Amino acid sequence: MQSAIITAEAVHKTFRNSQIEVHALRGVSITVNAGEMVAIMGPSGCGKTTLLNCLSGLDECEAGEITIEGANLRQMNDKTRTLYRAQRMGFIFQTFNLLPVITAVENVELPLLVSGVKPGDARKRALAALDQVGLADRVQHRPMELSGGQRQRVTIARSLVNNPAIVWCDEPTGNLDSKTAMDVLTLMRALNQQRGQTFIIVTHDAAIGALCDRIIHMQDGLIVPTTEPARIAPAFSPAVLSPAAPSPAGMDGASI
Amino acid sequence: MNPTLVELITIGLAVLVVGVLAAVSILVVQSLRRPVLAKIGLRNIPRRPTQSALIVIGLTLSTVIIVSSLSIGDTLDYSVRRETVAAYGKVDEIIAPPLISSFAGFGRGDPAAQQQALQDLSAGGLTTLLTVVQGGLPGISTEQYAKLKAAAQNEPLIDGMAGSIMFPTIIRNTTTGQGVPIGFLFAVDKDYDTQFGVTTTDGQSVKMDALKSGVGNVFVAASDAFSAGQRLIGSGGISATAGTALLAAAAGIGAVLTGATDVDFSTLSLDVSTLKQLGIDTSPLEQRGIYTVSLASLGLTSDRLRTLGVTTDTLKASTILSNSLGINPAQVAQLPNRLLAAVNVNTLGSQADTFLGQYGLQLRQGDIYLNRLGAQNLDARVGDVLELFIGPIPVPYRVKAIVGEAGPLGAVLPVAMMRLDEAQKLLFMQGKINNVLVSNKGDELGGVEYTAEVSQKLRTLAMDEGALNDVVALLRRPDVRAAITETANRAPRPAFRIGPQAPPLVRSLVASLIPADTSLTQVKALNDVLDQPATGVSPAVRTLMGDLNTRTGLRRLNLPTATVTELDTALNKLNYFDLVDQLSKSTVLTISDVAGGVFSQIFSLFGIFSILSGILLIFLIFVMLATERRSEMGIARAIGVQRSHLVQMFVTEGMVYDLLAAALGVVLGLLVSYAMIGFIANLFGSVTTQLGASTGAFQFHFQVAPASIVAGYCLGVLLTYIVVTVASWRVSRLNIVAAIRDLPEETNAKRRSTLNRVWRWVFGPILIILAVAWMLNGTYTTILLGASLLLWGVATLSLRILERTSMRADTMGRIVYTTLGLGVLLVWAIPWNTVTGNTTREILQQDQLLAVLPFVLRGPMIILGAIMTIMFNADAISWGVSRVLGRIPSIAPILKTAIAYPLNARFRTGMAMVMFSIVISTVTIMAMVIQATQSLIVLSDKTSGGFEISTANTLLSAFSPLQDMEADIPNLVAAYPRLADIDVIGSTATTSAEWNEVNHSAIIFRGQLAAVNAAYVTQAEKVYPFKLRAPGYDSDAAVWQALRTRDDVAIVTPRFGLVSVTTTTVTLPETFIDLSIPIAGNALLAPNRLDQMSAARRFQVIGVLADNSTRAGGLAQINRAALNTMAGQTVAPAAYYIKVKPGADVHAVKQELERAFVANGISVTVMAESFALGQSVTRGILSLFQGFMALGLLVGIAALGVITSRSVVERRQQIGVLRAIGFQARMVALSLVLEASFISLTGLLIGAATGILLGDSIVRSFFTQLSPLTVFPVPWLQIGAILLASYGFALLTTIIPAWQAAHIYPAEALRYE
Repeated sequence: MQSAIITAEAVHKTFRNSQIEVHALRGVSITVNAGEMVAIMGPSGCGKTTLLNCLSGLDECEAGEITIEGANLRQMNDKTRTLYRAQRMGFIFQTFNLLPVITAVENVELPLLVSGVKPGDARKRALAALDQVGLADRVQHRPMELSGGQRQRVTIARSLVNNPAIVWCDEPTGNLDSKTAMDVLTLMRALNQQRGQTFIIVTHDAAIGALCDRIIHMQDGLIVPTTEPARIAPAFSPAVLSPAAPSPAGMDGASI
Repeated sequence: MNPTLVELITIGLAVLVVGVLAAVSILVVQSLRRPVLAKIGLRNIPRRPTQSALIVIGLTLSTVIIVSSLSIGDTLDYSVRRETVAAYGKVDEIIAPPLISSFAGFGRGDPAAQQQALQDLSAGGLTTLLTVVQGGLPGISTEQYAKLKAAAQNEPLIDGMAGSIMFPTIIRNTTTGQGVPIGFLFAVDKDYDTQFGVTTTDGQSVKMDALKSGVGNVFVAASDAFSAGQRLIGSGGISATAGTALLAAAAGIGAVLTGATDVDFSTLSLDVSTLKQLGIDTSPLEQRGIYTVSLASLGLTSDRLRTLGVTTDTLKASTILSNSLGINPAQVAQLPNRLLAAVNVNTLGSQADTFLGQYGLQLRQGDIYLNRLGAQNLDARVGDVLELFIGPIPVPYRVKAIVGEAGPLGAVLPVAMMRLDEAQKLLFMQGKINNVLVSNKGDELGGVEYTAEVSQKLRTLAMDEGALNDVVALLRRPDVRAAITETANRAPRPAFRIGPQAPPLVRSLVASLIPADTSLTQVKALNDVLDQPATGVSPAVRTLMGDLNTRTGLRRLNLPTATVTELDTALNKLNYFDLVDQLSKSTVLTISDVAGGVFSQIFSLFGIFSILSGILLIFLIFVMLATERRSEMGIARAIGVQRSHLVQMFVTEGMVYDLLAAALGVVLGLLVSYAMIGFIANLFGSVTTQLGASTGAFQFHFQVAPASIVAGYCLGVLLTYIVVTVASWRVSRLNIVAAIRDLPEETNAKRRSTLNRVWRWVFGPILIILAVAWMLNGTYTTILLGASLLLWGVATLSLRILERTSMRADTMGRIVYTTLGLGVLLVWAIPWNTVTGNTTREILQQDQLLAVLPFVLRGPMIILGAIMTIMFNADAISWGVSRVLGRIPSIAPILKTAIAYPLNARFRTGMAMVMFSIVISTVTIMAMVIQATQSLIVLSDKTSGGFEISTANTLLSAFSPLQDMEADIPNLVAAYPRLADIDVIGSTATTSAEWNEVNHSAIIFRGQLAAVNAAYVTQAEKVYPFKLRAPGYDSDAAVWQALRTRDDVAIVTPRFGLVSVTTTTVTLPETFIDLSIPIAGNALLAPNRLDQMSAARRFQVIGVLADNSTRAGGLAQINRAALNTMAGQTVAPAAYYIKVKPGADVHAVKQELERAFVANGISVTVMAESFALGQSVTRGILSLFQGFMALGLLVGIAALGVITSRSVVERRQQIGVLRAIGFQARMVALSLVLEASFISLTGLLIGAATGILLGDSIVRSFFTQLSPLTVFPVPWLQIGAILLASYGFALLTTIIPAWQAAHIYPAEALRYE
């Protein structure tokens, strides 16, 4: 039996401005086990991203309890929470959100540097991570000089370089074509399986849901009954993570 | 007519206002046509109020600088105007006989005539002066004046006229002993006070009639008669009753000179009441029962006189004069000046007083009004007795009141106002005046606008009828008439005429656009009317002949020389007076306008760098606004918005900021200038305090013309508008896809036209060719500019070539731009003149531009080069920094982002750095200059020559040059005991000279020659070493000894330019120079007859001084005897240098010298005092400029604030990412602060380095005695403080946005797009 890595109880989140009040989360309770790959799906505006933000500590909720790796997230101050994010979490966003002014490898090593890893070690680990995602020959490129798929790989490398317990993904394939999206997903799934890291993926994409261990459906700020995914794609194999496997030349849309 | 300054300003202002209105109108029309675009633009303003406020503040700066410059100019202008008007009162024009106007116009008119006039005045001593007085000055007779006045009464533009006499004088306050070496006597009658309405400082009306008459020439005559009588009586051996006899004689001769032609003294009988009227205290006479003064009543009967050998005949005044003074009775009319020339009245005056005082008698002292400046300079109060020197003769007058207005000279000089009849007697100008004061319609300032018209009228009125007839007759002579017709036919017919009724603005515009040769058109007009009627002079001809332009045209007629001379002579006789344009109020006001304008221009010039920074800031703000909205703009373009629409959106938004910012800028600018005027006023106040009461404190009145406010506002608006439009146009040129996807702009190489491609290839070579051509021109400036162009050309060409290789774009950029940056840096930063020595210095000397070059071009170019180099290598620098600091784990990630962001936006970062650098460099330069004035300009012995007091001649020294102070002192010590404290009196006579080296006789040099006395040499020996000595002179002392004793040796300064001696020569070879003194070099200062100089003399150069400047001055120095030999007579020294005995009060000695030698018109200065004063004023003004330039720092600081806050907005999402991946809030803040620090510190350091470099070369060029190796202290502490403060303020502006950024919730930041 896998242990719960994330537990949320009755999480509430309301957005207010001068005129309107939006109840984004209206008492969400979920549990995610360690090593699980979970998709959160639902129509636009149902609160998926808000839930991800609240669970990952990027945002604060006004009611409810969130426990991550046994620690109460809401009791952490900003500093502790940030440190926790740096050391135990990774993030993958739809718009990649790489820093445009620094190179791929610098983007990847940033979380390590923030965590206090020595620059030399950080560089080595960043290069290894980029190598793992098949971008060994693009390390000195800036995000602008990379394709969407490549950028998302850099993001993945950045999110995993710290060897985090949990990786939060917000529409990770939203800006990618289906082929590239599938490559990226395959990579994520392989990492999940190989490293046992927990992936929480917010997505609209049923195909992603299909690849996950579990799908959490949301509607109007609430969890609706969960269905199990059909099956895990057989294509996953640890081999994809071996350095020799994917051809970097084929990154742009080619299969890994 | 040329447009006046006022009209030009009006035109400029109109252009500005029209410009602003046009800009606003265009926008309004566009907004009405496409309201949605305006709405989008305007909506951005309230979206982020803080940022909008920051932008407005950023845009404010240029307006602040412009408005403060203008209002400082206005204040100075107004203050000067107020002082001028206060002195002039209602006087608008001044009419004077030709000689005075030639004096007043000195430096403008015919040089030969001026030279002659000067020589007349300086060379002849008293006699010539009096000849000038008699022959030249009287000019306008009372009849002529009366005629003019009658005619002027019909002129509506003239509302007042008064005759006056103005005469230069030395004034001494006998009460305080204070004297002024030059002042003016200003004599008017009741016409002046009734028509010109003058009041005293305590508000009483000035009444010239109420002034008591003084002794007039009676006093003078009395003194002289006393002298004559003394001789007479001395010969007769009487003394007992001499006093009373002499009193009678004095009175009698006074009567002779004031009216009667001859008086028999034996029959002379004066009523005591008459004497009383003359101001003589007659009580002693009355006590002795004498009511009629005659020789008989005084007991000097004919018999008694006969026993003394005096006959009745000899008692005739004319006989006395004839016998004692050798004057032919027929020459009585010329008596006064002969008298003056013959006796030493200077000492006699006081003897007469003393003598009369024994009998309790006192000569009457008349009253005068003294102007405020005079009261200050003389430390005079009402009731004090002043001595006015008429030539060398002191005449006592009592101050009745202090007045504010004392004629045209009252603003600048001490002026004593006296009764006209009194001055006529004093100056032997019976029935004559030398000035007519004219007041125009309107008040003190309003009348000025009629000056041109009134002057023209007056010239016409003042024509001599006979002379006019002569001229017209001459013009009608067939040969002249033909020439007139010929010239008239040549005169171009103007395309259209603008009448005098046209508005001034139109006239100015036309005059500035179509400059007409007025003299030709006037001749043409004359040609049309000259023959009607055939005889006599028609009013039209009269009017034309009154116009100076007509006369100029006639003088240019194509005629034989003899006829031209004839015509010229006739024309010169036409007017019995000239209008002294130079002294008219309008001229003085124009000068004050220009002076105010100049000052405001200096401020503007210094402020230009700040304005430049302001422009960069405006540009930067809008480029950043555009960057932030790039994807919005891309989307807008995608859905069909035109580029022009984008521009409209931006400009609409910008215009709102602009209009608000300019208004705020006006208010801030006024506050700044108010503070600065306060500073200047305090400065002047403290100077006045230092000087005691001996100077007129100039009053500052804060004043801003509405026109300046409008101009400042409009300039600010237009400047911003232009920059915003250019910036908007630039950002509107975006690639739609790249903008939407936020990709870098790609080069549109494929879309280039063929022409464009060709241009890209030929541009570099064109630059190179231009550069080479320019450099061959060979002046310092063009070589530097050429070299920069050359670098640019080569860089452009290299880029084109490298583009064809497979080199990465950033590597290519780095190589090319680094080379370019370093090249520019080297070209401009290296002080070539010191590096390459004399060769370059020669090039430098040819180059007029060099004076402004360091300030205008060098700084910006060095900064540009340095920043370009840094920006294209910053990644390497950042790598280095990271290697060093990045080892600290907590710093590494912060450093990475802090350096990466600014490097990614090179243009923006570079501009911000340039802003900082430019401003800091100017502030640093000022700090260097101020430091230099403190540390380099010290009153060392080298500057003072080891003396403490110096004297200089003034204009009035010409009347009585101080020939030998050393010889005079012993005689004066009794009367002036402090003179005993004098230890050494050095003196120098200077003159211009020509010389050539004997071995290089073809090369003639010119320069100042100083002749020094032995006492000077004794002091100089202790202070000035020699660089080179001639063979045979083993020590400096030997050289000095030779100079002291021999009249065939000279010493020279290094600048003397000895052809045969180079700087490498260790000893001076035997060098001889032939020295000659040209005629009347500086005649005024060395008033002896220099035109009698002997032929050239040969001197051996026995030493080259180590310093260029010595107390004696001059390029070469010889001893006094040598100069006297050359001159054939004793040359009066131009300056004396005095060293007082140890422990003596220098200031007291100075005052004593002033008192003792006031009659010689010398000004006496304590060198340390004048030095300290000059220093404090210089330093104050420099500090003011420094403060003004520091205004630009606000621009830099505001820029940094804007950059940081824009960065926060732009990078909100990225900040969210950073926070998401584990950046603590303080790390985000620190990263932003470091980023701002990188920009500001780089800018500050480059600026400071540039400032030190430029400051150094500016100081060196100011203080040429510094050799290249001289080290002078850099004000590190001050520069450090400036840098620290600037950095501190810059940080303050970044801390708030940084703090805000750090405290955004990551999720919120991530949501932001």
